[in-house]
Amino acid sequence: MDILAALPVQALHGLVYGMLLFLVASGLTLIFGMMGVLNFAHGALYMLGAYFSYTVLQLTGQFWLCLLVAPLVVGLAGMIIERFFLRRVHVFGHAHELLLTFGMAYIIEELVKIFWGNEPLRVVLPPILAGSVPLLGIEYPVYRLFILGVSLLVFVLMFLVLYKTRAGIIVRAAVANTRMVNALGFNVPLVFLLLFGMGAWLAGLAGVIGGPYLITNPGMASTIIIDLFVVVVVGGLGSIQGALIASLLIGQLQSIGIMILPQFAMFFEFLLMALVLIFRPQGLMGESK
Amino acid sequence: MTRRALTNWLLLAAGLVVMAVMPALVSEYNLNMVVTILIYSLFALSFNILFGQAGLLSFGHAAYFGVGAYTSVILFKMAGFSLLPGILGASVAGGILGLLLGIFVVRLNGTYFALLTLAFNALLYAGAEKWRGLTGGEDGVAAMRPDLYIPGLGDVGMFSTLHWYYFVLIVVLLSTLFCWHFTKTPLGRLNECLRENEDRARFIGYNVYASQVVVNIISAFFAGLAGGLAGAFQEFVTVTFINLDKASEVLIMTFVGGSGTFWGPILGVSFLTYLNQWLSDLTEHWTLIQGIIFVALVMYAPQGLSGLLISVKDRLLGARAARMATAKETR
Amino acid sequence: MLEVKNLCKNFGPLEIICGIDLQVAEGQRHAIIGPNGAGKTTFFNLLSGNYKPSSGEIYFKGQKISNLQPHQINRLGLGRSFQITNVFPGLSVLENVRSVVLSRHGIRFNFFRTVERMAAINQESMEILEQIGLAERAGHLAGEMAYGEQRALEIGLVLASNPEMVLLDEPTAGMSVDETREAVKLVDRVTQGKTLMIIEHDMEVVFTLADVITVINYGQVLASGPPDEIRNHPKVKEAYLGTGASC
Repeated sequence: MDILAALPVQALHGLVYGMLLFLVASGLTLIFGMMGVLNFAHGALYMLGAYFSYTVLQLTGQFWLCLLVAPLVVGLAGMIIERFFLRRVHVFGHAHELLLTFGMAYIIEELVKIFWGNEPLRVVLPPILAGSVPLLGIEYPVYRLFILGVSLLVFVLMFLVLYKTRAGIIVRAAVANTRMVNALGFNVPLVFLLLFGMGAWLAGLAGVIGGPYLITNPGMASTIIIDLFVVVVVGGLGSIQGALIASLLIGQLQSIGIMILPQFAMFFEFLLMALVLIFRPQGLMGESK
Repeated sequence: MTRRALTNWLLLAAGLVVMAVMPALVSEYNLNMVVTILIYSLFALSFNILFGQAGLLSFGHAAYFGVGAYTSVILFKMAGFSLLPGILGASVAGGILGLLLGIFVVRLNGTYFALLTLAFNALLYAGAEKWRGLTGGEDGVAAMRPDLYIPGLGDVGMFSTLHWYYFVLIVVLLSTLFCWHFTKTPLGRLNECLRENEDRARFIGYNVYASQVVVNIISAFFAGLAGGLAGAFQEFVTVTFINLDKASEVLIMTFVGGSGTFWGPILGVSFLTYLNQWLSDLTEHWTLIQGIIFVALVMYAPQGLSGLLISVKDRLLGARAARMATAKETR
Repeated sequence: MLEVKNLCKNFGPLEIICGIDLQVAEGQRHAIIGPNGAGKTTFFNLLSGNYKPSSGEIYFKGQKISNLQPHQINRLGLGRSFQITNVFPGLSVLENVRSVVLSRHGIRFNFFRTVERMAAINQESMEILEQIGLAERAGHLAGEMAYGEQRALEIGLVLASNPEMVLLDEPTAGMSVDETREAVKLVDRVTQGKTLMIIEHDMEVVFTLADVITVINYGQVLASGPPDEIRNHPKVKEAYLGTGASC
């Protein structure tokens, strides 16, 4: 296969995956930046989004309903985890929070296997999204463009909220300096709860749209969690811009890397993470301590 | 000798006697299960050198275990190694990996350490999957259990469960003895100082970085040893020996047993192995129950089962006298 | 013994320390005082190697230490205590001190002999505990002791490395009048024959112990000299008390 000719298409694939990854990673990095806890269960929440969506689709046959309902359920699940589980172990320290979210991820994965079985699930897309259009010289799946569209839309909305609304300013301030925000009189536990829920919602949404593309199966949490962690490390914790750059980078690494050196994709990610930790440990866009 | 120390010695002696005559007490099937527990206890002990003692949470300890397992089987199969050199090779491989990763990750703070060890494990897993020439990929690699060569006695066949049991027992006991002894040596004590207050240790004159690397190597060495034993046991190694599930397994077993005591990990391995055995007869969802137990402990009893047992014992025996530092409070 | 030349430290755009010049002679007892936020603890952090200077040099016993690691500086003979108690909470008092003694003897990577068998080490550790008055508490967990005892342990840890120069950061912080008096006696006793640099807010302590006082404000040396000189120094009065007040 002529590599140069295939490059634009692969780059587009990488863009699609990168934006999807950003959708999940944005919540993760904000939570990490503000609460100091790396939510191991984030991949599991993403998976829940895909599975809930599948069920809603089975029940109603309306994909658009899935887009609406599933992320909300996942967001709710996230808030429950934060309010009733994570908050209790907060006093024990970060290692403990990590262990808890790890345990949550484990439980969620087992529950998924119990309720939906071990086999991959096939999601039937509405006809509008199931076709393909001529693009860059090949027939490009419409669904992937759909993923790209939704991700970009959410990104723009997120940007507007974070930078143009009062609530967004509070969140960004809280990420930068939690104690200060508390001292200013804001209800930090409430902010935590809402942020966690928001992060879960984003992850759930990513799961809904990602499931049909990346295959809805019980291993999808583990598959995506490594990429998520790489994004957080490379992008810098708490940084949305960093998460965006890192996600796009990983996306390209995955798709073009796989094309050129199929055996080494994982290695490149690890190398990237290693290099960042050596030369710029706060991440590309993070603040140095 | 204090009464407490005497009790401990008697318990230990009793335990050793039981282990020694175990083959006469249980069926072959159960004997094999004891072998599994022995091997995984060593794995968990090695993990706890980092987790409970150094305060370093590793999400990727299966990297060393898996490399150890692959090394032993590959040495048996492709280089015709006999048993002991193969197991030794596995340990050394683990130790080398511990050095390579250690020099890089021990500088990182807790969360990043956890992340990097996870990523490294995932990397090795991907490597094991893809490097079919060496590891057989998903199909794995198999080798028959070689004889144990004892100078003066010649070759001792290891096919019999009996011989194999005693071999594993001796190796694990010796390793456990070393690990126990380690906690009482200057480096072992330093390891715990580093958990308590890394910064202060620096101001006292300790090269924290170098010390942590050495501790990482020791931990990785024994994890590799356990892996080597596991490989020789199954006579077959595949990617399940090095995947993230395996890494999660040792973490859960150690935590459930209790990372604050030396024997907690051993308790955790034994408890969960038997629990899994028992539960899997009752329901196919026993891993869920394991997860629930884990989360419950994280939230309400982070000192694990061994910590709980100690609390109960204290309450039963009355006075909670000033304890020496051997009774650590787990985080 | 200690020489500081034109020391500066910035954190990004924030200049915490700007141009500190200081000399401490051997055996001298040198107090550092100044309002809160003046940069005193940052100064100590620079001396002990926790921070790297943005510019300027630090010389200890004639050797440049500005670019050394904390453990290297400690091994050269500079010991430091902390304003916020910084012990090993989960370990016993004896173990706390013993860890320092082990390090001092260069026993750091040994994983063959057990610590309990090292008689000389244990004896030395107990002697130090006696000096700081904690011999009876040897088996207690450091984290469970009273505040005053933890502060004493703090000093004990510095002592145990047998440093030639001791940096004490607010050793009497949070202490009652009686506790302070005991602490001063302790500091006096254990720093005989050593060089001492102490950060303090309690003026009585300062005037009791110090041979030389340096006043730092806004990261700069405001004045430096014997206690009487400082007591009557106009700039010092202004910085601390507002003009017109008397000490």
